[in-house]
This record gives sequence, C-alpha cells and structure tokens, in this order.
Amino acid sequence: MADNIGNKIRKLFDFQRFEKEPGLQDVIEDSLNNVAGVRRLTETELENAAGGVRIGNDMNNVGKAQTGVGTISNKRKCECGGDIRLLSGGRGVCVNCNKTFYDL
Amino acid sequence: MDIEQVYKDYHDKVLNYIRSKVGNPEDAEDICSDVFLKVQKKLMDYDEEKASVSTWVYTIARNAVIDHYRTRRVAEEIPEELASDDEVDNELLNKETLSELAEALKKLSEEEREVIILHYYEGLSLKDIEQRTGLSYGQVKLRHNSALKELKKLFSGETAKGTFRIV
Repeated sequence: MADNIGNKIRKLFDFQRFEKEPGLQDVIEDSLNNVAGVRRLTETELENAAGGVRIGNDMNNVGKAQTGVGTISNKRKCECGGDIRLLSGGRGVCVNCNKTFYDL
Repeated sequence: MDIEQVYKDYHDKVLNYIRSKVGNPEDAEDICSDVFLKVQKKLMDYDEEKASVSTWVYTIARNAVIDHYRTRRVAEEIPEELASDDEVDNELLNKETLSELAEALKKLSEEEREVIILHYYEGLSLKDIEQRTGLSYGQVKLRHNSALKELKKLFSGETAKGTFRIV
C-alpha cells in the first residue's frame, strides 16, 4: 500500500520536473531551502538590506513568522554571528553556517 | 494544433526535463531533437480526449530518455523514477493533480515534507537523508512512513471537486 502511493508520488514528481506547476514548485523549493538552511528573503528584507534586516513590518516583531521566511529566533544567535531560523520540535538552523541546534 | 506551436510551447520544458535526467548536454540536445521529430510524426494521431498536450509531450520525452539509457552503453543506471515498466497514467499526470499534491504536502509536518521531497523528488535514499538532515535512520524511516500514510489518507479524501484519483 505504502509502495503504491510512493510510486505514484515519484511519478508525479517526475512529471513536475517537466511541468513545473508553480504551487508545487514553491513547496519543493521552500523545503529544499529549509534543509539547506538557506533563508529566502522577502521583498521587504531585500528593500531594507542596505539599512540592516527588517523583520516583518515592525522592527519589534522579530520572532514572528513571515510569508516565505522561517521564524528567526530572537533569543539566540549562532557562534558565527548568524541568525538561527527556528524549525519545529525545538530545532533550529543557522542561516549563515548551517549549524543545527536541538535545544531551542 | 501545429508542430510550430507545440515546439514553441514545449521546447524549453522538454530540454530542461531531459537535462535533469541525462548528464551530457549534447546527448540532451540530441534526445530533445528526437522528441520533436516524434511529436511531428505522431501529431496526426494525437487524441486530446486521451491526454492533455502536456502529458502527451511529457510521455514522448520520458520514453525517449528511457530509450537513451537502454540502447546506449551508458555506465549510469536508469533513474529509479523511469525504471518502472508501468505505462504513464494520463489520468494521474495533469496540472490539477500536481496542485493537489502541493496542498497535501502542505498539510504534512515540515520534517515529513522534507523527507518526502528529499526521497521522491531529489532521489536520495533514506540513508542519504540521514546524513543530509542529521536525523537518525530510524527517525527518517519513521517520518517517511508516517508521511506516506498521511498522504494516502489525504489523496483518498473528498474535496470540493470530487474524490482524488491518485489512489
């Protein structure tokens, strides 16, 4: 049963490599970026890059989730100085050096 | 439907798809040319009631890649997603089902979604995923199995449009 659904998903993903349906492509890329620990910048962050990173619409809202970007921890930073992007289950990943944290 | 329009609409998709399967860029170009020669030959027989143009062209491209692996003396194995002898399921392969898959994946936990995408899209083994994510093999396997179970439930559920047909 599990093999059957697995094979069907494999076929769909193969078709996705051809069709590149945008909604599914976003889900795939978000997930792969998450694994790589890469933080996708929102337009707001890109606009504010010169003046430092603005998280969300309010500088006081560090820690709140944003569309397309994982929540950035407002409690800890990595030893390398990078922000830690929060994952579920108390885990996090440094967006700079990809170090994974398990005790957040 | 004319060949020029099909070529214009699908050439890049076909070439990118083939490049994702075949290492050598020159081979990819050759196979892509073969695909459109076949499309041109078979255009008169195309039946839009059996499959969308996209699915039809994809099937020709997919089969061309499989033929490449089978007839050439290439060292690498045929990719797993092409190794099955199953016929391409025209009912399964359409944009709507891809959207439905996206929605179903969003309902999984982040960790389950990662395992599914790494295994079925990226083609990593569960062992490779263990190394990539830092999880134990047991955790990866658990998430894989629980994700598949959840996806099976989601895909056999009812939607506003009707029952999913993936299972």
